[in-house]
Amino acid sequence: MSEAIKTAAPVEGEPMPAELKTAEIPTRRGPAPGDPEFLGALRDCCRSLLAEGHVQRIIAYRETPDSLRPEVAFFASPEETGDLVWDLFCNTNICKYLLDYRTFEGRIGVVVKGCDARGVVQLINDMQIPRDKVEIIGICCPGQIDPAKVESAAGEAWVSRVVAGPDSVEIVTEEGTEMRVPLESVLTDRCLSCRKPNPPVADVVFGEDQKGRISDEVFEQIAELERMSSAERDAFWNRHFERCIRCFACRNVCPACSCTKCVFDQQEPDWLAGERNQANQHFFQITRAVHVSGRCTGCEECDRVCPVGIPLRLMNKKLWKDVKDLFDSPLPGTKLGVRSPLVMWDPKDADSFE
Amino acid sequence: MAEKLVTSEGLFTMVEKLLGRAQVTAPREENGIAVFGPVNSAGQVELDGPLPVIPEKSVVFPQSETLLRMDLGGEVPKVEAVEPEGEQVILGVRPCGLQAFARLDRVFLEGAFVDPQYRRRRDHTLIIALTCPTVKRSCFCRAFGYGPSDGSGADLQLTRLPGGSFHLETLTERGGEFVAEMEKEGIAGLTDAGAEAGSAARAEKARVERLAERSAAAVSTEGVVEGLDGMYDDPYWAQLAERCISCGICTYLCPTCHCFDICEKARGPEAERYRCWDTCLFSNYTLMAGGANPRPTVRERLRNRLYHKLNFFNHRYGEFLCVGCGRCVEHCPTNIDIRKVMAKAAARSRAQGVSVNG
Amino acid sequence: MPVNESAAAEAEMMTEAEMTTDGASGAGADAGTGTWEPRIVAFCCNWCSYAGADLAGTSRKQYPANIRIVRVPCSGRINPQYILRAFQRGADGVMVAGCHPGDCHYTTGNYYTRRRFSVVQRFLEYVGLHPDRFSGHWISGSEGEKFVQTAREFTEKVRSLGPNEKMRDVL
Ligand code: SF4
Ligand code: SF4
Ligand code: SF4
Ligand code: SF4
Ligand code: SF4
Ligand code: FES
Repeated sequence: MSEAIKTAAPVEGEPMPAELKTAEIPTRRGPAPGDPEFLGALRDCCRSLLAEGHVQRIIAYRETPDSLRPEVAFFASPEETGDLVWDLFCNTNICKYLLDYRTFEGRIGVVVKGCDARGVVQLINDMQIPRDKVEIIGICCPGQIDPAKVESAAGEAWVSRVVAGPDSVEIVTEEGTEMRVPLESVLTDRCLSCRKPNPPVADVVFGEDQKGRISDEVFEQIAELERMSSAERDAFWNRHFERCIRCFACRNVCPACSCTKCVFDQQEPDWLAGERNQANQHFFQITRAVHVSGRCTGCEECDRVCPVGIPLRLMNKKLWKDVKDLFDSPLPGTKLGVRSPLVMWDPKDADSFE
Repeated sequence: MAEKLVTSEGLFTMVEKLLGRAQVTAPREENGIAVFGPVNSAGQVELDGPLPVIPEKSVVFPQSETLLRMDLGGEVPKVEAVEPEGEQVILGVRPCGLQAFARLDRVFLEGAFVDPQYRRRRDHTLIIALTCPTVKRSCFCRAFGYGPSDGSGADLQLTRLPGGSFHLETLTERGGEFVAEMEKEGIAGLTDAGAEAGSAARAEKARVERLAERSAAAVSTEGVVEGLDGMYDDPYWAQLAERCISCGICTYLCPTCHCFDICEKARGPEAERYRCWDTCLFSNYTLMAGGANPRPTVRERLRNRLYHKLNFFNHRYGEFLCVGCGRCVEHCPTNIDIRKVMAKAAARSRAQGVSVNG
Repeated sequence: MPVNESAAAEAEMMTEAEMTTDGASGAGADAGTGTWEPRIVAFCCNWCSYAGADLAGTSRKQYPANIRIVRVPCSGRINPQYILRAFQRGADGVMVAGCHPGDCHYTTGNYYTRRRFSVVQRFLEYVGLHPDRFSGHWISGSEGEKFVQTAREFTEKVRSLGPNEKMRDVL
């Protein structure tokens, strides 16, 4: 992708340290998920990072009795890594936890998928955490499974475990029945259109590069919305915004939302009043979307966590499409040392002012 | 009380009739998600779906509601209380929702202060319950001593029968009046339930109770309150809080969470006071003027919520504030599971028991 | 009040007091005469468009009374939230105006403005606001005439759309 803007425009603020300006291609590769050696190798890697003092904490996942829902876990010592897990149910994007370690003395290892890794890079680019404080343990992600889809496929029966193959998964129920469904039918929505499943920056990588799944569905939906009349779009978004319960989960998980004091929490002036009316719902939704534009990594973690199914991706991806159209910059989080296109400028920028 | 049989077309007609005279709230589907929300045509009602994400409470305790209207322009400010208006019907309330209403009643209606808004809404809401058509893995109602066929607290209860019709039971006088009214209107497909329909309904209820039985084996309330009594300063809360993102999902989706904030809005000389949902998981909740915050971190906030559900409320009202609907279990973005907290507390109380006894 | 400190407060005051009480200008839903006049909020840079408006005033060129100006130290100070707030509190149209590219008093402020608002403009349209309700302009301190012209045209466009309901949060 062209980086004309980056070089043409004087970049203000702190210059990026020179050593961060090139993308890092890791040389160490481990076995791929699905390989019988994989989990052992991942645990060994994490264990030795802790044991040798390269990192003082590892943020990853831990097994739980409910195999569809592993927990995010924070490993402080090599002995704890025995129940560290990484499988196709590690849906939670853990990059945001790095912000809890802003003042932590020591380095932090993060076990990340492609989408999580972009979040890590974005936090680094937004100067939230220095690159050298993070050990990026990347995994080329074959796609994650949505536990709700598995459960609904199993119907009334309770799922005991899921064995994933390359194209299909086997669902085993507590009653011992087994069924096989296509992998695509239980993948999370975001994985169904994921173009970048490989960590763009990492210190060690597990697996060979994955192809991802190229689907234009989201952009087609956006184009369809763009073709509507103002009134139709108004009705479309009113219907969705009305449902928002303002739990702020979409903000709290977002790697582009890193302000220490969020405008929505501000009380004087109270930019976002507590009253649930369309005016305030719009204020919240538009402000959130605009504020992350140019820095949204397209991880769709916000879509995943939204309990009421607001199609946040239709806003985030629309903004990304426009930002890319107008300023031709790379997808946020895919390159170290890139600043948000909205905090840069070029005298030759397109001009919509009259 | 009376038992009726109503075809799904009959029920459809009944809802259409209701729409003209009351605000109807029912499960409906939005973008693939089941929510409780106002409906404006019977076609929107979706009774076979999963437990709706947005809980029933919004009918008696809306996300925001106006309390006072003020005109401060004149010499003497005018202030007038706003009363909720009209009749409401909530259709398809699950047994856990009924239990939740009972908890909310205690909070808003018991004691010296009776909340007028809540009272008015509650009195003007007809509750039509639904025997749960499915039981999710996250459901743990049985741990709290009731199950997916328990209609107590409702005016009427629907049970979907295998053939597609509904068994309709009247449980209160108000429910009876409603059915009589519908009969007077001559709803096609609304008939007396014969012995056959009655036994089909009992069989269906037994079936879903069996499904719920599975969770009863996994979750128990035994020792939870006692265990928590001694766990307030346990490092466990910090561990849980480490991954909690402090969002509003578990509280806003919880059918019994009832915290609110009172705010004002002024436009020129006119002003309004309203209340809106608030949650103890937000840092602003306990933030005081001057910047002090008695619950400064997620640890204190998350602990507060879990204690309120599983301990504080018990000490005050003698029952749990959690009714086991499983919404927080299913929707927590970081898989924080209140059932595990219960198990942890129970284990603690067992351990304490051992040390006390010998 | 130092101008850079007061921009948000000024926007707030403008929308709260002047917008809702209808000011002296007679714009807004005029109960007295039954005629509706659009309310327009113009966020103007202190060094250029605000001066342009001033110049229009001193040289006795009339711009429509529908326009309520909120002065900002630089167009770069205009936060997208200001736009939303104006619509919330009753604006039927919002204008953003700054120095011509290259002429910003702070050298580059308006370059940021241009990027920010080209994105915001498209997005407001996308969420269902009529595109004619929001516009951006470059108007220098000597372009009193352009200010008047722009204000008139924009007012007429908004007038033809009628009152804005989207995002409105009045009592
Ligand atoms: S806005 Fe959503 S998709 Fe974009 S970075 Fe944030 S969480 Fe990811
Ligand atoms: S996660 Fe969904 S419901 Fe919660 S605030 Fe965001 S959009 Fe609203
Ligand atoms: S605490 Fe969770 S399971 Fe219990 S009633 Fe509330 S949402 Fe349901
Ligand atoms: S918790 Fe029980 S009552 Fe509630 S939906 Fe589940 S089965 Fe039904
Ligand atoms: S839903 Fe989960 S992450 Fe959100 S506040 Fe509740 S426990 Fe924390
Ligand atoms: S000073 Fe006028 S736009 Fe910057």
